[in-house]
Order: sequence, then C-alpha cells, then structure tokens
Amino acid sequence: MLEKIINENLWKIISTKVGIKNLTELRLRAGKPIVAFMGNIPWFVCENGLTESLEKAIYFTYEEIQSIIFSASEFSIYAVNEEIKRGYLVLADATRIGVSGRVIIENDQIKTISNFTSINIRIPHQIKNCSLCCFKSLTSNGVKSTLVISPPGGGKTTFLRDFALQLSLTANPLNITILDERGEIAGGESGGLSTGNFTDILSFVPKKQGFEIATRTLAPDIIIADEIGTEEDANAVFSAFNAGIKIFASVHAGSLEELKHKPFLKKLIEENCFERYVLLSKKNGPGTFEGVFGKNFLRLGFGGEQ
Amino acid sequence: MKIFAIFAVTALTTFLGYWLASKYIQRKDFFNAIVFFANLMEVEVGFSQKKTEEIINENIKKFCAEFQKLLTLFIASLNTKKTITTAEISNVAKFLKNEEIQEIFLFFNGIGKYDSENQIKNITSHNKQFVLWQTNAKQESNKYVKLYVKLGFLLGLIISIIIM
Repeated sequence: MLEKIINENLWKIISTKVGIKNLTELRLRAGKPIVAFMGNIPWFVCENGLTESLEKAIYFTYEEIQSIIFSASEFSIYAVNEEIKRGYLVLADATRIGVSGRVIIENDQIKTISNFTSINIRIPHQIKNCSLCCFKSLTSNGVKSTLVISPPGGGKTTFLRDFALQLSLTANPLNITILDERGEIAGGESGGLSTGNFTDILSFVPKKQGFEIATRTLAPDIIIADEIGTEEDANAVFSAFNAGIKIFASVHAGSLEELKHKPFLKKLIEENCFERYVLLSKKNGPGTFEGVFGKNFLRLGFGGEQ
Repeated sequence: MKIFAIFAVTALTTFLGYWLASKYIQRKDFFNAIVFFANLMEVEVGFSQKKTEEIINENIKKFCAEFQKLLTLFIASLNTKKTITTAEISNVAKFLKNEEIQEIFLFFNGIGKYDSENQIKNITSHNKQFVLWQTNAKQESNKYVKLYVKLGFLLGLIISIIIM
C-alpha cells in the first residue's frame, strides 16, 4: 500500500535502497528532512538510501504531505474524517498514518484536521510465531486473561495479532473477537493481516461499544483489544471479565512499575482480572520479549511455572 | 421512382438537420449527467460515505458517453496523483464553453478534498450552476433540435421540387 500513497521517487529509494523489511516508521514533516526508523534507530533518507548527514537528506514538502493524505483516503477525505479527527488513518494493509496539522474545533469538539504539516507512517510487520515464546504459559490449563505491556512501538499489536493466529491453529480453537479500534490488528475492513480462522473482527469500534457488541452478540471465548488507555476502556474490560470472557489486551508502559502506577488500571489489577502479564521492550528491536509474569507480578517460566 | 427520390432526399436533409442539432442533444445529456452525478455525490457523501472511486464505478453506466469518458479520465488522474485538466475536459466534451469547462474543472478538483460537511457545500455550490446550465441546455435542445429537423425537412422538400 505504501507505494500507492508516497511519491514515485521516495518509493524507489525505500524499496530498493532502504528496504521495507526493516523499516518500522517513516516521519515526513513539511520543510524538514525525511526520517526513517529502522528498528529504533532514526536515519535521514537520501537519494542513496540512509544517511546521518543533514546535507544529503531529502526534504519533504507541504504539498507532498497533502497528496499523501489525499491518496491514503482513497481520494475521499469525507469518508475518513472520523479517523482523521482522532489523528490517524489506517490503510488496508494496517499501515497507520498519524497526522498533524491545523485542528479545527467547533463547539468544543474536533471537527477535522486540515492543512497537514506532518505525518508518521508506521509500517506493520506480521511476525509469525512471535507469541510462541510464552504461548504455553498463557494457554496451559486454559487460556489466561493477559495484559501485554510495552512502550509505544514495542510490538504489542504484532504480539496480539500472532496470538490470535496461534490460538486458531491449536487443536481446540476458541472463538475470538478482535476489537480493532484503529484497524491495526487485522488490517481494517479488508482484514489484510492474518489472524486465523476463528476470529470475528469489529473494525474501528470504540472499546466500550465493541465490548458491548461482542459480549451480547458474538459469544466470544476471548476478546482481544489493543491499547487500554482510559478509565472507560478499563471499565469495558472489567464488564467483559465479569461476563466470564477471557481478555487479551495491551497497554503502553515501559515496565511493571509504570504499569502499577496507571490509575485507570488499578481496579483491573486489584481484582486480578489479568492472570498473566507479558512484558515486551525495544531493547533488541521492537518485540523484545522480557518475560511473563503472574497475578502477583512474579516472573514465570515459559511453561507458566513460578 | 420520383416518390422514392423525394423520400430519400427529404430523409437525408432531415437527418442532416438532426445531425447539426446533435451538439444541443449532447449538451443536454451532459448536463443531465453532471447534475445527476452531483446529486448522487451529495447523497453518498452525506449518508453512505463511500469512497469516490467506488461511487463512480457503481454508477458509471448510468451516464452518457461523454460523461463516462470524463469520469474515467478523472479516476485515472487520481490514480496517477495528477489532476484532471481543462484541456482534457475540453477534449472529451467539445461542445462545452470555456466558462463551463472552468466550472467543471473546479468541481472535479474539489471532489474528495474536504470533510463531509464542506464536501457537500462544495458540491452544492457547483451544482447550482450546473442546474442553470442544464435548464438552458434543455431549452436550447428543445428549440434547436425541432428547428433544425424542420429546416432539414423543408430543405429536402425544396430540393425535391426544384429537381422535379
């Protein structure tokens, strides 16, 4: 999809000289050099690929940014305005484009964002089997409600996606509902990324409504939701937990200590909603597995033993 | 033989009259199509919020040949990250006047660029002008097509009388 939205020259450089495989993020800012993140490391993009030199870097223009947003909306800004209002766009292959520009407010509500000045393109990578490192620990004697923890860009979504896929491949697959609020887990309406044959996907749904729909109508054994970030999200998780559904969710945090200090998670932690905590970091690149922890935050072995 | 010749000459000149008036028929069909398209876009943007290309692909067969060509060019220009030009519009619909070409150019270049509220406003403002031109084109077509056909028929009769 990236080739359809960025200009021909930049795509040529990225596909032939930079390499899409290791590219995790592109940051394009009006009047500023193009920055490509290879794993965690930022580089400037130049005609020959990557560089540390500001002089050789290619600078991006305001017009090119407008063109990317227009192409990414499939020439229909009106159709994606709800997403733009939330600050991002998602392409069919789950590439997420974060946008910034002039935020237009009307009656204390964001009406739209226009005159885009920078975009942040996050390239999704389907890393098959990345959840197998602790799969046994999360599924032995029944699937355990689990919270996946990592800093932003740490591989939480990739982990959740692969976990759904791996669950579908087991001998006794369970019904999984994925609440894909930003279209990043399964790749939006087209479901461009593989999540297995036993998943029902609710795309672009706010978590509160998503949990309600899933619980009432889809009878899932497991609900997977990305990035619990508010009290409302946490309450929705709690309701589903009370309905006896296993929850697989993720949250932004760099460590277990940071996690414990998030006020909106207090109730979920105290009520032992999550039986497992998986910690990921970016130490050796996104998705570095740091360990799996039990209810009491004690480290577990890969088989789930303390 | 004479009757056949009279019939043939009259038919030929009547057709000639119709052919000369075909520009007015094309204009009428074209403005009917653009008004229909603008109305369709207003509804789709306001309710279904389907993507521009999807709306066009689903409905393209409902339009006259010239407007179909224009829509095809529009989609092609979008996919090549370009904008449709006034020269392209003029090439596809040679019967359009400069002022009309400019308005159609602005209309197409505004499609898909705004949030739904402003998109509808944008389409509506262009459509007001299109409706005026549609009315004029309809009146012109009614007036001139009949006139040219009648003149063609009369010409045929006159030629026949002279020959006979």
